[in-house]
Amino acid sequence: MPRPIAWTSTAPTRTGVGLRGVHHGEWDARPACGWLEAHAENYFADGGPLPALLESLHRDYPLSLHGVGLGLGSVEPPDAEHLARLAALVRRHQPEVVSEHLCWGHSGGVHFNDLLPLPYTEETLTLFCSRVDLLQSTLGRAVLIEHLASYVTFPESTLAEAQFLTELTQRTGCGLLLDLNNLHVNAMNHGFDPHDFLDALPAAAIGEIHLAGHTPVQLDGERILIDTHGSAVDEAVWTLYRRVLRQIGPRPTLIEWDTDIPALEVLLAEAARADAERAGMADITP
Amino acid sequence: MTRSLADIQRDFASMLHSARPPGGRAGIYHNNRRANFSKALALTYPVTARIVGEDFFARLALDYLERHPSRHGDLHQAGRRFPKFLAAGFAASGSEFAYLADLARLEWAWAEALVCAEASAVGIEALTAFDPEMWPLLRFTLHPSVALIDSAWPIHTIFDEHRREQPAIVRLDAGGERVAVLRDAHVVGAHRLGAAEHRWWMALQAGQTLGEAVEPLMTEPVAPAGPESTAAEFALRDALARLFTLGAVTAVTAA
Repeated sequence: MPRPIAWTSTAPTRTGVGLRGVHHGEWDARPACGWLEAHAENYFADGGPLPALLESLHRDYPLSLHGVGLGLGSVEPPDAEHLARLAALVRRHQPEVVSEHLCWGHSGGVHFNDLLPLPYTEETLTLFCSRVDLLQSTLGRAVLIEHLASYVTFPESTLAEAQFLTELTQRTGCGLLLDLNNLHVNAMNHGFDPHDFLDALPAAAIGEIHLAGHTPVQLDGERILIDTHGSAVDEAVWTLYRRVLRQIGPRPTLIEWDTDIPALEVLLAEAARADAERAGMADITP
Repeated sequence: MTRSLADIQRDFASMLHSARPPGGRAGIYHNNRRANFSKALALTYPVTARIVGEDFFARLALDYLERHPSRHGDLHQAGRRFPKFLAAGFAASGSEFAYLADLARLEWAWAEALVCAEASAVGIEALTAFDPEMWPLLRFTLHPSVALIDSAWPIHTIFDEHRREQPAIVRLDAGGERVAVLRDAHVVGAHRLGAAEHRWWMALQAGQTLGEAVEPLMTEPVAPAGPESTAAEFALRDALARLFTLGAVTAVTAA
């Protein structure tokens, strides 16, 4: 299998799961799992049990640090202290991969602590590339950037999202974190064909895949999918996963679950399904 | 006219700040911001949230967010001013919730102790290494996690009870309690201190010598009077043993 971009060692072939506080104790038994992804901000600490736990788990599982708080696409610069804390965390734990989001998050000094959508324009591209350059030079390594699930689009956009992401990887050397639930949610909410998006992405830049659940709601008489990460992976997302495996071959894959988090076994069972999907694809040459 | 990225973000920010959610899909962001904030605050203040109930806590969280919007990309930082906010809202008014501010101070101290820097505690032998004649001149460095809280309400009992599955009824008029929150190795604890003991810890934390910290406790009565709060009850030997046993001291130095 080709070595995906941005992994510092051989990328795991088995599916991983997101490390969540409610499961901390359950990891003591070291259940079989391909790798772990931790939200970086949850381990911002000068000492104590949290970094110690991460260190101990990293001895037994490959680790990814997934930033959710930099708001890289904010016109106002990223919080220098936040960036320094992230860099210190990466230095301490030397994770196999680091990722952040294609989003913005603060304005007027106020942080909205959410992944807010960006218009896809040349102006945004220039700004966002400079921020990824800053992040990568601060960390001294390449990162993966994840595209969002979004509920609005901007009339100002002049580039398709896939085109924006392709330009971003070419200009900064970063990789992509392909979230198939986000893609499905966007395709349904904004009415486009997810296959067009997948066809337009640079396959070699895709370094990781996220799988998660969403929640349908009725809004003004219209059915909208909310990216809740609060349920099992939807069949439509599994279909996209098989499509991607056929198209680009296997990639390190992660099950995310963030609200109504069930027992760890449920997450591990979802990870096992992803492994089974991949095994079922093994005879198909990408 | 095409808006610049700065314009777009400013417009979006005003939408998020507005008291009422906008119609349509933008409202999802308006709602998510508030829900995320309230959920994160409840994780930092689980006992407070449990006591006031989910709905009331969510209302408090929104009111707090309105007055003290988050200034950090790390949402864990957003709860820093919650105790002061509760004090301003309840403590002055003589409300039945006046104790919440002190309870929240305890919970914030707990959250801070969890992530503070490492420092190795020393045992009481660090003290016995010195000639007893030197003891009054010694200074103790307390663990960086040590936070001392003095409340007019029984906040340690309230905190302790509401971390159990079946909390017992706590009488608010049971009298004030003093608490030391600290982390020993990787375990955070909240320990009830006597009134004199609390003053002594405060003095040691402020850098006074053992002699300076002990002196006022030996010569003047400490108010308010209570079974464990008079100077006569302050037994230095016991207090020293407890201070070291709890892992509160990281260094003993001659002045």
